[in-house]
Amino acid sequence: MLNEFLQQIINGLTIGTIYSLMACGLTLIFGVMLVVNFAHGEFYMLGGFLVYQMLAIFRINYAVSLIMSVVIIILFGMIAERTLLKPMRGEGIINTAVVMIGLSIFLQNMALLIWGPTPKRIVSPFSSVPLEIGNFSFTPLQIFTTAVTVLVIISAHLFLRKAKLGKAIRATFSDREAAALVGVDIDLVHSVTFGFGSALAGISGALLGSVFLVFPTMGELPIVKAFVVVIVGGMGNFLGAIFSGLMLGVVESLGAGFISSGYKDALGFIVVILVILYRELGLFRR
Amino acid sequence: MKIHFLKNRTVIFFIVFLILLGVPFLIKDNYYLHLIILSGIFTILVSGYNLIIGYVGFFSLAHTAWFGIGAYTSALLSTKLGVSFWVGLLAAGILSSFFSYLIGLVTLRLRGHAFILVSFCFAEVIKLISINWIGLTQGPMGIIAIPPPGNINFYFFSLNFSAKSSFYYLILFLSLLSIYVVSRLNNSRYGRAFIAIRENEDLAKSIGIDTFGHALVAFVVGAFLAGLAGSFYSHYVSVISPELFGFQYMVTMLIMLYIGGRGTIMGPIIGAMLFTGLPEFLRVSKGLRMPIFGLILVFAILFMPKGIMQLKGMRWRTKNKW
Amino acid sequence: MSLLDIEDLTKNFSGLVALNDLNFQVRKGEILSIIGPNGAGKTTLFNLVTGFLKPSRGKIIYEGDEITGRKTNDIAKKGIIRTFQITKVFPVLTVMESIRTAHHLSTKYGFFATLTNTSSKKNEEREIQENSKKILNFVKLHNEKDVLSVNLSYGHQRLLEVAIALAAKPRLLLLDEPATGMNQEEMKSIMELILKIREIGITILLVEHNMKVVMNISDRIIVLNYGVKIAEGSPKEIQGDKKVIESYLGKGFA
Repeated sequence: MLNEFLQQIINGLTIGTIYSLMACGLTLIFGVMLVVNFAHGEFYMLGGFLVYQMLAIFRINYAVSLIMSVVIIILFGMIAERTLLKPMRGEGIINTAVVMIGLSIFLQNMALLIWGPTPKRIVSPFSSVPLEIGNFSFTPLQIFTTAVTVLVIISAHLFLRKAKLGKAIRATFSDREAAALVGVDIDLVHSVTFGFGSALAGISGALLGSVFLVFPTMGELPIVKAFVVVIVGGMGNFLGAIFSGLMLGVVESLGAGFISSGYKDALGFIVVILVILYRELGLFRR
Repeated sequence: MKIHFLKNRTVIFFIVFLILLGVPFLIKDNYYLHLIILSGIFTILVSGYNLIIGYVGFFSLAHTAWFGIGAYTSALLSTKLGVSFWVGLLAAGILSSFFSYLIGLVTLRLRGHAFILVSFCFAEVIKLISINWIGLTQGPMGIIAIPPPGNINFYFFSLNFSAKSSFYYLILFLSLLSIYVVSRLNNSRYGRAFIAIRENEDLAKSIGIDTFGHALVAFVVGAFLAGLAGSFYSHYVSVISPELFGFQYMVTMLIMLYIGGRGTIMGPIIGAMLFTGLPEFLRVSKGLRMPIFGLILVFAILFMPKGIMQLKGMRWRTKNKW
Repeated sequence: MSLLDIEDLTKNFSGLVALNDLNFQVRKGEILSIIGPNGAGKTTLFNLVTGFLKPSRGKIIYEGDEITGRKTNDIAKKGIIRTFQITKVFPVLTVMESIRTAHHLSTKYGFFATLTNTSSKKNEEREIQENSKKILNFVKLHNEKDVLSVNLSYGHQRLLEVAIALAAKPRLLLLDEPATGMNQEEMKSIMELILKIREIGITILLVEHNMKVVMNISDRIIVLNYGVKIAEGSPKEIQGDKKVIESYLGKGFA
């Protein structure tokens, strides 16, 4: 019994790392640019489709496909930022959000046109056959996914701490005006942030595309989860995003395991409602 | 003298009303009539939504829940209990109001992002219930064969709902009713209180406005109207599914509201008419329709951030407000 | 006759004591000024009285009723209305619309009366219109009645604030630094206005930095420093009080 419980937690942590990854991208974009990126789920989807396209159609090897897809998404994100977001700076959060919704509709339907509605499978070199390690089972795919995600999060963290551009991004995050005053190139920071944040979504999509399937609307549910994670963790708060992402993964996994898999998503939302009510209204605090 | 007469608001309304009555005679093509009926449904939905978003200024993401609850209530009452449409219509409005009241009690004390998120979570939970509580809602398969309203025979006035035009008259009636309710509400101390809350909540409180109570009124009235719209919708298209609770409807309503113009009475109407028709009129090629729609949305906001009403010079001068 | 009783009022902000055991009374019909250096706790006092903050300890009694910790809009209903240190208006409303909105407490008609447009609703609306015009004349903003609040000059915005407060039918009016940033002429007008307000029966509690205004119009003055009352009395008494002079200018000036 305890075993099962721990197993569910481990599964939950795996999914949780992906939620964290997506949430980090979202929170970065919000924190630095004050943009609520409703197209984030579509970059996730693009990540999946690009890897599929390269792997299955162009027959490029997996590692290269993965890397190339990320690069393409970074570039695409930067272009999208320049053309769509830069003119919207100062127009208010909601209007910018509506632009992103438009972009998301556009991307979803282009994907539908190009690849069609039938879900595709990404054949990863890592198998989904569980290995028994001690009392628990992991699939190589799970291990790979988690390892990559953790690696990415750590690299992102190092980049933001050490690299010059990373520091510039953090500066803009803390205080935009001050950053501009000391000569930070705000335009560059915005483009890189958006490209980078979107890439985080893209990687998640590419990784999960092997676990689940790839289809044009695959971004819709994950982005909802990502938003939830970002807001519970605190918009712009990385550690919060990471922690909440893991927590959501675990809560869902336990819910699916012990209650019902249909309602497991509902469980996540209910937990969020309770957390927010507690935090904002001090309910249940007697 | 004559010019005065034509500019008089009552006269304009009367003329417009006559034209509206004559629509089924002017438009014979069922497809276009269908679009007009759809825009009527959205007019009711978005006018109600405008109350909490445009007037009070709270960004609720729960509105599709009231639409869906109304649709399912009405559909279930008629398919499982044989209840007449008219009772179902009222029940739909009441039930949606009831749930919005409960959820409002809990959420309307929240502000900013917390409110948006919690309203969204509640809507998602309701959607998931509609998908998973198969015993009640038949899950993802939805409810089919929802009967049209019974025929009305009232002296010389009769409506036979096997004809689309009858649905048109019904939705016309319901739309006018919604617009009436919303405009009465907004041109009163309630409307002034709503706007006060939106413009400066602290100031509003300091002059005695109960912000929670008023937000609740806006929330519940909006939900009531959405419930009516849902009920009509389910008996009009005769098939409903949990998709009603989904992203597409929510985004559509937001687009209509934002581009039509929040905080005005005409805004939702314009938004509803424009965006019901627009995707259809863009039938360049079936596949490209939605991407173009997305692009139009993008460019519309880029060039008209305050919505179409700003072209008319309507006042919506906000500074970094939601 | 005391309108407002402040008893042992204390407010802590995690370690910082903003108000410490404050005790005083506001007499009906008077103009009572609260003065003191910045950070003395004056605005905190206003926030506590009007329900924007809850006290850590102590009682606030208005007309015999304890109102400590009640909600702001309930307190307003009882007749305590305030203005704010940093001007607050309704940006997209015109002056006239703002005043009409501020009549919220004067109106009673309910939801169903609104939907059916009853004659009592129409009557109340007519009264609002009349009374709004009166108030605009009273504060001398009638020429600006159709100007957007956000487009008013600073001085006029301050007047609008007072007008909004007056429309809410105060019996006790709390004015938070009404003369800040005003030139000589505007200052004169605001002093006249405050005296006029007292004449129509409204008790005034004033927080103000401008000594000219304070000394000219106050009946009594209370001096706060670091959250503690250090003096209370008539303008003349306060002017001569050693502790007061020290608190403003430091020791060695008394």
